[in-house]
Amino acid sequence: MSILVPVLVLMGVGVAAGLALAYFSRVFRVEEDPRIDQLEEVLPGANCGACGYAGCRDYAKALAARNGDGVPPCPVGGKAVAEKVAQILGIAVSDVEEKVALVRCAGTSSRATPRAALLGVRDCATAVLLGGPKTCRYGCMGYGDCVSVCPTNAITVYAGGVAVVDPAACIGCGLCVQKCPVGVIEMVPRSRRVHVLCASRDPALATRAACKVGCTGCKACTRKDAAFIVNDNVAAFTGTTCDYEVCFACPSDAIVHTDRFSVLAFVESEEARADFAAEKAEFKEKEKAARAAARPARENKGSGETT
Amino acid sequence: MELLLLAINSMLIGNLILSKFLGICPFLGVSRKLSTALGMSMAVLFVMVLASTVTWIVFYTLLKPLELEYLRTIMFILVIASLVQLVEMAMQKLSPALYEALGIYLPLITTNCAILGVAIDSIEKGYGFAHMLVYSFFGALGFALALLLFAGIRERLETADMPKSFQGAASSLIVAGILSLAFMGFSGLVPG
Repeated sequence: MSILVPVLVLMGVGVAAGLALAYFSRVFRVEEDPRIDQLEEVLPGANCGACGYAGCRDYAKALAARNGDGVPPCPVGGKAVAEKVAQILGIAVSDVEEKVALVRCAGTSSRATPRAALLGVRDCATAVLLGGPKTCRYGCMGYGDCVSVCPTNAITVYAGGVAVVDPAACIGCGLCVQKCPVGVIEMVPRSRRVHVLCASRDPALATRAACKVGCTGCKACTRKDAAFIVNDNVAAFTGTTCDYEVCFACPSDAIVHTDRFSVLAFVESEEARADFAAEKAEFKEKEKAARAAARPARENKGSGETT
Repeated sequence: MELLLLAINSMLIGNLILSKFLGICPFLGVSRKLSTALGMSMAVLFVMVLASTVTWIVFYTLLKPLELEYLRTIMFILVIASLVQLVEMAMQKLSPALYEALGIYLPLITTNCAILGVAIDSIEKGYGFAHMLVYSFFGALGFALALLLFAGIRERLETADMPKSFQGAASSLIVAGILSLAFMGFSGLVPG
C-alpha cells in the first residue's frame, strides 16, 4: 500500500503540471505570422544552419519578418523550395543554384605517396597538425571529420582512404567544407558533369612526386575546352559539361566526366580506371592515326607553295 | 551577519562552477563571447532563484508532510522543467523584450545540474526560506562572476599568439583550471 502514495503524488504533480501548461499555453498564446508555419512546412527541415540562421524555424521567421528581403536563399532546398517560399511570400523567385559537395581528391593509398602513419587520435584535425599521412598537403587524409558532421550521412571514406560524397544524398549544406582542415571539399553546382579531382596547388614536379593522379597545372585541358581554367597550379572546370574526349587530354587522368563514370567509381574502382585507360588508349591511337593521315596532305600542300 | 556570510560563502568560497564543479556545460559552452555569457548569466540568476523557491515550497508543503523525501530529485526535475516552460510562455506574452534577451538560454539552463544542485543543496543543508533565497541568489551571482571572468579571458585569448596545440579547447581548459585554483584562495576568507 505504501507504494501507492509516492506513485500517486508524483503522478498527480505530473498531471497537474501538464494540465497547467496546456491551459497556460492557451492563455499566453502569442499570435505569430501564420506564414512562418507554412514556410517551415516547405523548408527541408534539416536544421543544418547553412543559410546562416539557427535552424529552419529561425530562417522562416526571418523570411516572414522581412518578406524575403535580403534573406539569403536556402542552399539546401534549391529551386524547388525557393519557388514555394516565393509563392507563400508572394514575391518573385530569385535564381538559386543548387549545390553539392565534392571531395577534390582521387589520391587513394595506391596512388598517393605516403608520408607518415598516424598513431593515436585518428581524426583530420589532429592529422593536419602533424602534416598529414600523405606527401600531398592538399589531398584528403581520409580520417572522416567530414563524415562526422554530415547530417545525411552522404560522405563515406572507402578502402582507398579518400572521402567520397554521394551526390544523391548530399543536401548541399556545406558543413563538411567548413570542417575539412585541408580544404579539399568544395561546393559545386549539382548540374556540373565534369570535375577535376585534385586540389594540389604544389608545382608540377612536387605534385608528380606526391601522387599519380595529381593535377600538375599543365593546361592541356584548357586547350581542349575553354571552360577549364588553371589557377595556382591546379585546373578547375567552370562549365556544366564538355565532351568526354577532353578527359583523355589530361596526362594525369585527374578529370572525371560523370556521364561516363561516377566520382566514386573514378576514385575507388580499379575496374573503372582500367576501362578509362583502355578508352583513352583507343582514343590516342585514333588521334595518332588521324594526325598521320593529315600530315602528308599538309606537307604536300606546303611544298607545292614554296616551289 | 549570518546571511552576509552565507552570501559570500555561496558566491566566492563555494563557487558553483569553480569549487563545486556544477554547470560546467554552459561554463565552457557559452563563454566564447562576453555578450552571450551575460545573457546566460541573467537566465541562470532568474531560473535559479525561481526554481529554488518553488522546489523549497514543494518540498516543505508536499514531500515532507507525506514523508516522501526520497522523491526529492525526480520531483524537483519535474517541477523545474514545467516551471521554466511556463515562465517562458508567460514571458513571451507579457514581456517580449525580456524573452528576446533570455530567449534561447532559458530552456538551455532548465536541465542544468547547477540549478538542480542548488535546489537540492539548500534542502540538504536545512536552510530556511530566507537562507535559501540568499543562497540561490548569490550562488547564481557567483556563477555569473565565474562565467563572465572566463568569457572575458577567452575573448582576449582569441587573439593571443600561442602554439597550435594549445589553441581553442586546450587553452580554455587550462584557464578554467587556473581560475578554479584562484577561487580556492577564497577558502581562507571565512574562518572555520
